[in-house]
Amino acid sequence: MYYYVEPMARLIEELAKLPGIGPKTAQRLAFHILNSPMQEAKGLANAVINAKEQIQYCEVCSNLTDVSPCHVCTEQTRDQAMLCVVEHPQDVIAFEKTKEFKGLYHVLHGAISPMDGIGPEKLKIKELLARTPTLKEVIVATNSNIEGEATALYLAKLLKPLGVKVTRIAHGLPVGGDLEYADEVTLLRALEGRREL
Amino acid sequence: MAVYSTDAIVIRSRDYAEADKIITLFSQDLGKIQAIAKGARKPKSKLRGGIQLFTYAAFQLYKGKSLDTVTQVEPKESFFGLLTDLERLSYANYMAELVDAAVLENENGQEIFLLTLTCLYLLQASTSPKVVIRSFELKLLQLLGYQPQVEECLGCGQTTTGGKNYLSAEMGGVICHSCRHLDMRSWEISGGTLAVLKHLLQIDLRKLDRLKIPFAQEEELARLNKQFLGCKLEKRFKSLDILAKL
Repeated sequence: MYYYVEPMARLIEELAKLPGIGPKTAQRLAFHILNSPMQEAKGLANAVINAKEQIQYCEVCSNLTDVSPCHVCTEQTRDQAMLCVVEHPQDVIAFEKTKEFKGLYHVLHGAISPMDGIGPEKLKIKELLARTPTLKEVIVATNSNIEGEATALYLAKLLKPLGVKVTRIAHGLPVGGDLEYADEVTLLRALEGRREL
Repeated sequence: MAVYSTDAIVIRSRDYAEADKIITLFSQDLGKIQAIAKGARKPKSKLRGGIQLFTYAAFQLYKGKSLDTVTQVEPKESFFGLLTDLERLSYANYMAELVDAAVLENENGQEIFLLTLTCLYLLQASTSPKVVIRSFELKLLQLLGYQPQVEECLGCGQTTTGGKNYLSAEMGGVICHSCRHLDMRSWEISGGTLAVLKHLLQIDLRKLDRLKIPFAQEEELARLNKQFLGCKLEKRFKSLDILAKL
């Protein structure tokens, strides 16, 4: 039986640790890397190391960044009194794509999930509380599922006594969605959040 | 039976791959089922509404090797009221965790199913969610065959009234003070709480809302139930720990 030489075996082993990569895919990737020019392979290796070394949590908003405080937090044109709380760094990117939101962000890095043992202490909530004295409004933009909803309720309970206005992003029909396929909760929320034309 | 239909409650849900969800269903006639809902995290997914946690819905599934695939879902009750109250929501989480631990896969648990569904409705509507949870815990123990023996001391057989009593999970019921040596790890139970416990074991769930339990006794019962369930189901319930922090 033929085994891979040690460096190859190690590369396959490391690649197979990535999510969604099985042993066969790892083999294919390893061969691809081996067949590609040295420059590309080094580029990949460096990119991995640089990302791991340089990316840190922003000391203010807990988003991923290479400089702390991050670019968003230091941007003076932004509304410093409005804060949007999201679950993940990807959500900040989604909001930034709208080019509409001009306030600041706060990334919780997860949501309260009692069954998985994720409580409030595992999220960046302490950091959020430290920011409240300068805020007028906190928009809770956690996901619209049970975990996100629980987190939103918890944040409201925590922040309201501090005199901050706490709002929840609207829930309703997705743009281009058919009413027929909307479930009752979505429709109920859509009705609640209706506005005058 | 490649495609089949069943009424079920979603008791667990976790993200999988790009936009899928793997859910655990508690079905009325088929027990616990693991299923995948493809694309269910996308805003335009047809399945999204029906596969949210605690939703009671009519499912159509496609039998798979390890996971079944959700092909259609028609929500019957989504327990929207739970989403507006942190306490109720946390208790619903705890209920789901209990059921998940108590029922085995593909084991018929129709009575537990009906209990869960009833208690979800009660939890949503009741003025005292705590009482609903305490009764749920006890009725679940009952259905699992672990109903605590409370009328007579398990050691000497004397009727348990007044005096100091102890609840022993190992022996499955109450022992009196002089029989305490039979299980030194048993927990003291006050006379008032013992009376509440007896009452809850027999109560008709529909009349639950008329029952008021004093705070101290509710607390004691919560602690005893936790220990009893933890011992019988051999599990520590994460959602209870989180509940204490909220």
